[in-house]
Amino acid sequence: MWRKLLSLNTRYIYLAIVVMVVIPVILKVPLPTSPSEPTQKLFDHIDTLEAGDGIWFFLDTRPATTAIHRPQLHVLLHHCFSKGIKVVGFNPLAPEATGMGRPFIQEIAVQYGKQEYTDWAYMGYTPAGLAVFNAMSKDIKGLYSQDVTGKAFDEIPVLQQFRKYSDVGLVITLAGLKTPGYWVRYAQTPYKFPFASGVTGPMIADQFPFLNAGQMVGMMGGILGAAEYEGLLKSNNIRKQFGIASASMFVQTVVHYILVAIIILANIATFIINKQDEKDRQTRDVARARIDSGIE
Amino acid sequence: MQTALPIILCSLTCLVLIISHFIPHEANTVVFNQIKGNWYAVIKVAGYAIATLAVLRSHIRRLQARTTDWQYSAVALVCFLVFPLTYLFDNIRENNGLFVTTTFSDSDITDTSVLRDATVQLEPVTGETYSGKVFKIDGKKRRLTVKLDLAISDLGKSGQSLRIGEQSLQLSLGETTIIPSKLMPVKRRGLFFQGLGRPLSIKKDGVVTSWVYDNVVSPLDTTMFALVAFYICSAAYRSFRVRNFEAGVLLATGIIVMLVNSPPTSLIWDGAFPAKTAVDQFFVDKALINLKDWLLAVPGQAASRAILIGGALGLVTQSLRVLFGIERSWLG
Repeated sequence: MWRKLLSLNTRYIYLAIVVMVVIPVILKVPLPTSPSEPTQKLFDHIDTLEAGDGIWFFLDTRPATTAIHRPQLHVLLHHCFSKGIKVVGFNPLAPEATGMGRPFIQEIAVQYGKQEYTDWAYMGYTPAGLAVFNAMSKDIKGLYSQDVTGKAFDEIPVLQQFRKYSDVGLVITLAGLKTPGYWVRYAQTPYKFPFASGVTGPMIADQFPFLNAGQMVGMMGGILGAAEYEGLLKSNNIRKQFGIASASMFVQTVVHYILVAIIILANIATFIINKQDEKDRQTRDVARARIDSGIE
Repeated sequence: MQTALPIILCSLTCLVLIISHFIPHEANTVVFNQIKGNWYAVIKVAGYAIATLAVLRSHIRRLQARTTDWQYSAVALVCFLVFPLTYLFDNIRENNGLFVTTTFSDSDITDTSVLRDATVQLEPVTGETYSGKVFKIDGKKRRLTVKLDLAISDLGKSGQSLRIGEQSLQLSLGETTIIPSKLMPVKRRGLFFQGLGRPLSIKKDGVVTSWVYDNVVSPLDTTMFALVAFYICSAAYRSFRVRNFEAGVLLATGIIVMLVNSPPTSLIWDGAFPAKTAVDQFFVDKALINLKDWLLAVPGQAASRAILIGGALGLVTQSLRVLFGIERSWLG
C-alpha cells in the first residue's frame, strides 16, 4: 500500500490541488491575521504622513504576480487616499508592468473620489535602466516627459510637488524581481530616504538584512503581508471590511496544509518502506547465511 | 585590435563608474552622473535593438532548419511581431488629427509670420470655442491649415458643437479676428508614427495594446506563475525526504514557516494551549509566531547575509578581472 502511495500518479495530486483551490476561491471566506513586525512598521510609517504628503511606488514586477501585488498596492492606496496622501507610480525597471499600474490605482481612487493628475498619476516605463536611481534623486522630469496616458509632465499638478526622493514621505517597491536589493544599494544608501518593499513569498527572507539594518522602514511579505495590512486598516477603522488579500489567505492556507500533509505522508511512507526493506534484507541475509553454513 | 578595442572601452567604462562612485567631488558628481545617465540609456536602447534582432534571427533559423519543436518558434515569432504592431497601430490612431483648412485673402492676413507657433481659436456659430496651432501656411495658394487640440475620439461627445464636414467657423488670434465667419471643412488626417520616440505608454485610447495586454499577456503570464504551485506540490511529494539531519532541519523549518503563515494554525494553537499568564503569552501563546520570526530573523538572516556578502565579493573579483582584461569570456 505504501509503495503504491509513493508511486501515485501526479495527476491525482494536481486534481487534489485544483479542487482544494477552487472551493476556497468560490467561498471567499476572509481569514483574519495578526500583523507581523515588518508590516506593522510599514503601516506605522505611512500613518505618520499627513494629508498633502506624497509617496512613490514602483511596480518592479510582471503581470504574473498580479495576485500578490494588486492586493498589496490596494491596501497601500486605501491607507494613502483615506489620509489624503498623494500617490505617483512608476515601472522603470519592468516594462511588462506598464499596463498594470493605472487600472490598479483607478479601482481604489474612484472609491475615495480622487482625481487623476491632481491626487495621483502613473508614469509607466522609461528605458533608463539602473540610471533611474541616480536620476530620481534630482528630478524625474529628466526621465519622463509625459505620463502613461500621454499627458505632458508640466500639465500634471501632482508631479510638480514630488519631483525627487527628498520630496516624498516614502518610496516603496512592489517587487517580483530582485530589485529591492538594487534600490537599497543604488538609491536608499546614497540618497537616504524612507524606503520599503512589498515582495512575493520566496523573497521575504532576502529582505531581513535590509530591514534589520534600518535601510527599509517596513515590508509587506506576500499575500500574507497584504492580509495583515488589511487587518490593520480594519482595526484602525480605515476600512470596514476585509478585502481580497484576507480572502486569498483561505486559498493559501488550504494549499499550505495540503503541502505539509503530503510531505509528511510521503516521509512516513518512505520511512515504513525503508524499514520493511531493511527487515527483508536482514531476513534474506539470515537465510543466505544459513544456506552458506549448511544448516538447511 | 578586435580584442583590444572592446577591452579598452570596457575598462574605461569601469573606471568612469568607479571614479564617479568612490570620489564624491562635486565635479565628478555633475560630469560623471551626466555621462553615466546618458550611457546607460544609450546602452539600454542599443541592447533592446540587438536583442530584438538576435531573437528574430534565432527563431527564423530554427524555422528554416525545422529543428525539434520548430512550431513553438513560429508561435514565438507571431507573438513577437503582433505586440509591437498593436502599439504602432495605436500610435497611428492616436496621431490621427483633426484639421481645418481655409483660404485667406490679403486683407484677412497681412503678416503670416505672427501665426507661426501661435495658438488660434476657432469659433462655430453656436457652441464652445476650440483652440489649435497653425499647422501649415501656403503663402502662394493663400491657404491656411490649423491642427485642433482635440482628439477624434472627443468628437460626438455631448456638448461638442464641432463635427467633421463643412461648417461655419470664425478664426481668431487672441481677441483679433483673422478670418470672419465662413464655411471651413473640418477633416481628419493621419500622421503616421509622429508619436514614436517618447516613453512607452499605454494611452487612454490605446485600445488594441490594452486589449492584447489585458486578455493575452496578463492571463498567460499569471497562468504560468500559478502552475508553479502544482509543480511545487508534486516535487515536494516526490523528493522532499528526511535522508539526513540537515534535510530534517530544513523540512522542519519549512513546515513551521508554512504552518504559521496560515492563520488557522494560531487559532488552533491558542485553543489547544490557552495562555494564563503574561509569561505564557510569550512562551506558549505566541510560541509558534515567535519561533517563525526567530527562524526568519536569525538563521534566515545569517544565511541571507552570507549569500549577499559572498555574492558581492564574487562580483568585485569578477569585475576586477574584467577591468584588468583578464576575464575575456564576455567578448564571445
